[in-house]
Parts: sequence; structure tokens; C-alpha cells
Amino acid sequence: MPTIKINRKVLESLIGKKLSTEELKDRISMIGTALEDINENEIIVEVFPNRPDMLSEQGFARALSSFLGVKGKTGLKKYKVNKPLKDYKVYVSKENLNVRPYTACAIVKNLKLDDEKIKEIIQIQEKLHITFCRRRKKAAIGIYPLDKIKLPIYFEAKKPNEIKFKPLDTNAEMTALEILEKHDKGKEFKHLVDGLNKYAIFRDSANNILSFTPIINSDYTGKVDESTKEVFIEVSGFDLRTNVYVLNILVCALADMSEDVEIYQMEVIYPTNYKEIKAENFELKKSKNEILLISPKLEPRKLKFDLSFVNKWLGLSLNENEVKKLLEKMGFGYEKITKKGKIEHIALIPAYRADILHQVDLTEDIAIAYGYENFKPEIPKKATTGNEDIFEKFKKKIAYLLIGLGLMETSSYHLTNKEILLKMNLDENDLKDIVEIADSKSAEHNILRKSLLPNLMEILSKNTHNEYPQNIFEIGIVFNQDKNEETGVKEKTNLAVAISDINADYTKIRQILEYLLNSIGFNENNYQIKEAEHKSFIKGRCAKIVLKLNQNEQEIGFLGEIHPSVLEKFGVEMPVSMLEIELGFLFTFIN
Amino acid sequence: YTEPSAEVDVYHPLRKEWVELGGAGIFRPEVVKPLIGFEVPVLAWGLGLDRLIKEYWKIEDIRDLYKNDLKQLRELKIWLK
Repeated sequence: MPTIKINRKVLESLIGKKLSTEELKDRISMIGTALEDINENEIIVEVFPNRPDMLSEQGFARALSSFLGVKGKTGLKKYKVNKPLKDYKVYVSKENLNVRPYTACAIVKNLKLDDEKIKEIIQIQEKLHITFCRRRKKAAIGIYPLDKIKLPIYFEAKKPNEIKFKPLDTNAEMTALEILEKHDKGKEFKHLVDGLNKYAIFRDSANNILSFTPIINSDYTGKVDESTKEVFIEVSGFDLRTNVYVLNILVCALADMSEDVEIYQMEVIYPTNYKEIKAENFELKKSKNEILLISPKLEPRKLKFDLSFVNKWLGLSLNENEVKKLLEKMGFGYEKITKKGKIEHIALIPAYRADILHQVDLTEDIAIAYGYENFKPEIPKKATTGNEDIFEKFKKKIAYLLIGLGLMETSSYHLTNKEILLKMNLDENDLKDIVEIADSKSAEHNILRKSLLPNLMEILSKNTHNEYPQNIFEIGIVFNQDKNEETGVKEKTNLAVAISDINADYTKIRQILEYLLNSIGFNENNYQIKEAEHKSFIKGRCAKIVLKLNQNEQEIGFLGEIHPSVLEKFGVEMPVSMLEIELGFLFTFIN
Repeated sequence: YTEPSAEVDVYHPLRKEWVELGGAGIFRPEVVKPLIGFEVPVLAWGLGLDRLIKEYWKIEDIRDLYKNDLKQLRELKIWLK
């Protein structure tokens, strides 16, 4: 999860007072972020993904000062937004719909940037990119010095060879293709434009390219430094909701940097082929020729909530006034209205809070404001007694029986790999109904196990240096594809036993099986052991376990001596015999 | 998927720091409704037992818990503790 670095002096000046290390430690944890490190100069906190607005020093300080109840800094913070001036326009082309469809933009003026503030802006951008923007996939941010740009701006999709400019921190012009091949950022984010025959760019009215989004800005028009006073900000990507919230989070953080900062709206003009366009909390003006989005919009959202729900959910009995104070502590506003003679409670949600979807989200913030440390633990008056699940009990009994025979219980992962199955002499045909992981990050864990035998073989192969006999068992879930299941995957609980010793053979493993089955009430009337073939076992020393069900027979497992070629592939020099049986099926049969 | 959520930390007397042991919360209605058909508060908590087991059995490396080392399994005197 992302951590942010906070300059303690900056934080204290934003909050407006000095705080002791002890107080910071306590309050930072209780606001719902995890404190990683704190010293005289710096604080490192981990921000959970539901609060992208806290990924900047400004956002963090805003939340913390309200939480601390600093005078004048609690409750809903209002941001002044100025109407668009002449030419504060961004025209979106028709072709963008299938390339990189959406953007939300703003102009911010009167920035007094210094080295520290530029670092802060870079940190906000970086952290938002990694988290909320899903590594630039859902949204990417571009910030440009306004004095280098001629308004209005165009958001267009161009063929790769038509895009040519000098990318950030390079000396020469490059085409889009060269950027993707040679530039560090191009290489890093190339996958985001894979398969597209056009790429998205921002350009100004003087025909200068501002950026090839989401890859890189231009060195000429896309570099913010200490002389920059006014900026054009665009957030573009595949999800307009994310774009809008990222823009809101960003402009609010910039506005918090100093009192003189001014936010200006821009008109983003979409063509009429954007029929599906929708933006949360926005009124899009649709006309015959265009769809108009005016961003940013920083008025709070209104969310009705039920006071009795909040109290029930938290086990408290808060009144309106208390809830109002708690909401304000978390940066919300509160309104009470009377509608048709009924009182309604309304929370005003700041424009940078993307995570409030339902009244439970407000309820959590009310709980945080109330203080988790202030909830009194109590034993419920109505109590029910818990019972161990009967199948769990059954599994435990089976384990005790096997431990009584001197076996040891092992436990391995559900995830395994195809290689191990091939080492068991299985082939592609046996792998047909295997559940595979899409895009597995590790070659060691790319499928769900279909059988426990390979896991036990793997355990034996890692223990060849240890003392023999090695008699082990495992009870666990196995998986296979099954169209009849709601999830498409069938899960079964199996038991597998392996004995490995100088005289491990078919007889020994069969003795274990029969002892086990007899102990739980089976006899020759309801089960049979029949000769069978299995690729992992020696031919003629392998059998299947068959349950008799009225007229039908059901195959529920295998036992036998493992084939020497399998032992060789696993590097095991001792004979091994094994059994595997569907324990879940045995259990339902008994009951 | 829980609102509100809480984290359970215990104080480690030797390392002199708080160690996260588990999470808890009330499931969001979006999680509960599709599964049981109506909205009702469902409380949930879960502990990561491996850190406790590691301390209890004086296992140095948490990965040793999942190694299935048969020598280690044999030598753990489970019944004596």
C-alpha cells in the first residue's frame, strides 16, 4: 500500500500548530492511517486505498487538522471556483472515443512555487498514479505551465507517425514510436497503448504538442518549475469518474498550498458520438452539436442518511448535534431539512472524497470521529453457543486415526504448477479440467491443485536428507473446472497418504486404507478395491477405490506404488506408495 | 469490504512495538445483499494465526511454518505444550 512522506514543518504550518511526537503517533493511527516512521523532520504514513485525497501533505493535513479540532479548520472546507475565462476550452475529437476517451481539466493561478512545493506536486501525482489511477490506466495527470501554451486546447487521437515532439528531459524531437522504444517512460507505459493505431495527444492552438498521454509531456510545454505561476491541468483516461475525482483532489491540494491560489474552470467540449458519457455529480449540457462538461466542480455532494441506522450500526445513541460535530470532525458538512413534515439528515460530502458511496461509509467516518478507543466493549445479553462444524470434527477424527498409525500431517498450498503434474507422468489430457490462474506472477504457482498426490510427492522430494520412514498425510481442498457449478469450479476435500521407506509397497498402503475405512464403518458390502491403471503408479500395483451405491458404483480414489520414473523425476530414492480418496464424499455417504 | 473496519494490534513486549494480528468489521451491504438476499449487519473478524504460532513454537522464520520439513515436524513436541 502506498506511503507518503510528509515534511513535519510543512504539516505543522498547514495545521497551524506544533504537535508532540506522541500526539502525532496517536492521532495519525486513530484517523485510520498507519504510521510507518516519525522523526524530527519527517513523517511517513501508509494511506489506505479508500482515501486518495490523503495522498498529499495538503490533503493529509486538511483531514488531520479537522480531526484534531483545530479552530477554524473543522467542518466542510469551501473552495472558490472561478468561471471559465475566454478560450478556457478543451476540444475533444471524435476519434478519442476508442483511444483514450475522457478528460477533465482546470486552470490554477497564483501558485507560488518553490523547490519544496514542486516536490510536493510530484509526490501527489506519483502517488495518485500508482493507486487511484491504477498505474495510469484509469487516469493520468498532466500539469503544464500556462505561459507556454496558447489556448484553447485540443485533445486528439493521431497516427503514431504524425506525433513528433521533444519529450521531457531529452535533447531531440522524437516520434511517438521512438518514445515507446527509447524513452524510459515510453518503455514503462508502452503496454497502455498496445494495439492502438492512434494515440491520444493534447495540443495547443499554436500547434505545439503538450503531451502524448498517458506516456510523457513535452519538454517545452510540459515542465513546471519555480518560475511557473499559472498551470493548465488535465486528467485523462478511461473512467470519467476517476478523472473528475483526481482533478478535484489535485486542485484542492494546490489551493491548500497558499491562500492566494485561484482555481478556474474549463469547458471540455465532447463531440456527439460520446452518447454514453456520464459524470457523477455533474450536469452535462447536451446540445445538437456538442456535449459540454465544465470542470472542476467543487460544491459538496449531498447524501441523505438515517440517524437510527448510524446508531444501530455503531451501537451508540448519538443525537443530531453530536452527529453534526462528528461529521464536521471528518471534514463533512451537515444539514437538517424538513420534507413533507419529515426530518431528513443530509451530509455534505467534499468534492475530493471519492470513497463515500453509501451511508455505511459515513458511518465509518462517524465511528472514527467518535474514536475507536471510546467504544466500550460489552458482552451481548443474548448469547448463542458456537459449535465445531461436523465435517471439521470428522476431518479431525480421521487425522487422529492416521496419527495413531504413526503418520505426520502436512499442509501445503492450494496453488501449485503444471510442471509438477507433468513430473507425475500426467499429460495434457489430464490437465484439461485444471483451474489455471490468468496472468500468474509466479511460475511456481500458476494452477489450483486437482489432486493432493503431487503435493505429497513434492514434500517427500524436499525431505530426502531427513530420516526414513517418512509417512505423511494431508487433508485439503482440491479444485477442478465444472460447468455445473455456479462458479465454474468444483471444490472437494480429499485425503492423501504417502509412505516412503525401504519396504513401502502396495500391501502397506492398502492396510492403511482398510484400517481407516473399517474404523469409520465401511466393510466389503459398501466398498471394493479394484485393479486399475493410473499414470503415476506402477502397472499391476495400482487399484481404485469404489463405493457401492444401490445399483451404481462410484469411484472415489486411488492407491498403489508410485512409478520409479516419477520417483526419479522428484529425486526420491526410496520406494513410495500412496493413496488419495474423496473424504468429503465418504462423509456425505456416512451421514 | 467492511464499513467500519478495525485492526487488532497486540503489543510485543520484547520488540517493544505493536504487531498487527487481525482485521474486523461489519460487511458492506453490497457484499451482504447478493449473498443472503437482504440487508442486515454481519460482523466479521479474522486473525492471522501464523505470527502467534511462530512465537509459541519459537520458530525464527515465518516461512518455516509452511516448509513441511519432516524433521521439524517430528521434533515439535505438540503434546507436551
